[in-house]
Amino acid sequence: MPSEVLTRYAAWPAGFLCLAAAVAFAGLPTEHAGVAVLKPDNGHRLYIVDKFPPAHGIDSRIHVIDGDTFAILGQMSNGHFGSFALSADRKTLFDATTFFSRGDHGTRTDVVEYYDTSTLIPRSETLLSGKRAMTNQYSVFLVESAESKYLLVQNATPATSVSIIDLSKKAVLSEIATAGCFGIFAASKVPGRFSSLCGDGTALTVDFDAHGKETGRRRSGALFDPDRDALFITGVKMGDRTLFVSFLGNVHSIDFSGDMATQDSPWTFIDPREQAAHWRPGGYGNIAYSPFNGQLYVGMHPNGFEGSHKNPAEEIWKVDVARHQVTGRVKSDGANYLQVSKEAHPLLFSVNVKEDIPGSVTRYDGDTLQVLGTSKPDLLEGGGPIWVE
Amino acid sequence: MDDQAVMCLLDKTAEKASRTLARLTSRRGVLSALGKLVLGRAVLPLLPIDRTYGRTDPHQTDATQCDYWKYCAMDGQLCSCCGGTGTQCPPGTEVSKVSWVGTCLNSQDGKSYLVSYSDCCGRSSCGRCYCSANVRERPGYDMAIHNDVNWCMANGNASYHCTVSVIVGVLE
Repeated sequence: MPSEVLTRYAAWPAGFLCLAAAVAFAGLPTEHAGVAVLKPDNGHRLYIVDKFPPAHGIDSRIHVIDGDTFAILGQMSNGHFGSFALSADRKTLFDATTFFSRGDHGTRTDVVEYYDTSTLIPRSETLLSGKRAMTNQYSVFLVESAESKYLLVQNATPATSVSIIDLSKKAVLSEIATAGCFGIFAASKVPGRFSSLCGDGTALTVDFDAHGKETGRRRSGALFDPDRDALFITGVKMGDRTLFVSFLGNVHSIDFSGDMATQDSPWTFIDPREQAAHWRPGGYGNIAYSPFNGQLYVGMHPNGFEGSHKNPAEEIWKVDVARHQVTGRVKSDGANYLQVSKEAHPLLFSVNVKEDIPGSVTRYDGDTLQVLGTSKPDLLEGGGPIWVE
Repeated sequence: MDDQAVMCLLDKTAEKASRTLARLTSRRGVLSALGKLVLGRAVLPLLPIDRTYGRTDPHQTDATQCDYWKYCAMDGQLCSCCGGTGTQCPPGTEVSKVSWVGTCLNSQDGKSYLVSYSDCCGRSSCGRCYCSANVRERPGYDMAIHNDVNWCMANGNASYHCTVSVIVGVLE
C-alpha cells in the first residue's frame, strides 16, 4: 500500500473525532450502544411461540410481547419443535428443545434451558437423552410438578415415556414408561405424581420417589371415548381438577390429585339449537379458565364435522362452570390459542390465524368479552400453531 | 431406530392391537391395520369403515391441492413443492422410519383407502405448500393417527422437511 494512502487512512480517526465533536456542539447528545432493560412483568407479559408451519423449523422463536401494548419486548430460542413452560413464580422459562450440530442435520442434542425471565438469558441447562417428543406446542408436554420440585418432560420415539428432572439439581433422575398414553398432568399437591391420558379413554397415574423411581401406577376406568368424542389434550387447572373439552363440546372435569384419576359426570354447554348448527370447539390450545371468575373460555366454530377439531375459532364462548351455561360470546378472527391473566378482573388473550392474518393477538375484558385491543395482523409471522402462556 | 426403540414400538403396537380388538366396531379398522403398517407390509384388508366420515373432498383428484382426496389426514408441506413428488422425498432427504395413517374416501371408485403419511427428514423446513386436514386424526394418546408430532423423530437426522403420502391398503 502506498505511503500516501496509509497517511490518508491514519488521518480518518482524527477526522471522525472532529466531525463527532462538531455534531455534539450542534446540539444532539452523543449516544452509546447497549442492551435495553426488560420492563418488569405485570402479569400481562405474553410468551408466544412462532414456529409452524415450520417457517422456522429449526430455529423457532419464543416472542416476548407486552400484552397491554403488543410491543415486542424480546425473543428466546425454541429450537426444533420445542416445548416451553413458565415456572409457577414466572421467574424461569423452561425451554425443552432440540438442536442439531450442523443446523438442520448432524448430532442431535435435546436439552432443557432455564431462561431467566428478567433478562431473557439462559442461566443453566439439563441435557436430555434424545427422546424428547418433538411436537407442536401444547401445555402438557413440559410440566412443573407440585411444589416446583420436578420438571416432567414428555418423550416420544414414538414409544412414550416421561423424564423426571430434579429442579434443585437440574439433573435427570429417571425415565418412566407410559406406553399408549400421552400428555402430562401433574398432581396438584403431590410432587411425585403425574397422570397421562391414554388411547383407550383411561388415564394412567404414576407415583415416583425422590430418586425418580416409580413406586406405583394405577389405571382409571374409562373417562372418555376417543373414537366418538375424543378429548382435546390441553386441559386447564381448576383446583384439584383439570377441565377438558371434547371434540363435540362436552366438558370433562378430571381429578388427578389421587393415585387414580376420577371424574364427575361430563356436561355440555352447547344447547340443542347450537348443536343442530354443529357448533364445536376447535383450534390448538383454545381453552382457558379463570379461577377468579369461574369462567371457562373456549374457541368455537359452527358447521363442525369429523376432522374440524383444529379449525380456528369463529367465536369465543365464555362458560360459567358452576352453572354449566354460556355467559358470553364474541366473534373471533381465527383464535387458535387462548390464555387468561391471573387476576381478579382477568384479561383474556387470543392468538389468531386466518388466511389474511399471519399471526395477531387480541386482548379482551375477561368478564365482558369486550375487545380491548388487537395487534397488527403480522405481529407474528409463523402463521400456524402459536402458544401463549 | 435402535433395538430398544423397535421393541418399545412393537410393545406399543401390540398394546394398541389388543385395544383395537376390544373396540374394532368403533375404530373402523384404522388401528388394526397399524401393526402391519409399522412393520412395513402393504396389505389389502377388507375391514369395516364408517362412510359418514370423510369430509375432505373425495372428488378432488389434483394432488397439488390441499383438498386432494388422499390428504384427508395430511399435516405438513407437500414434498411435490420441494423437489420431490407426492410419494417421493426430495433428493438429499430421507424418509421417516415411522409414520401416521389416515383413512380417506376416493369417490372415483367409491373405496376408502388406508393412507400412510411419511415425513421427509434431514433438512430444515421446505416452507412451501402447507396443508392440514384432520379427518379421524386424534391427539397423541392415539399416536398412530396423530399428526402434530414430527414423524422424523426416530431418524438420526430428525429435522422435518416435508411430507409424502402413500396408499397402503383399501378398506371395504
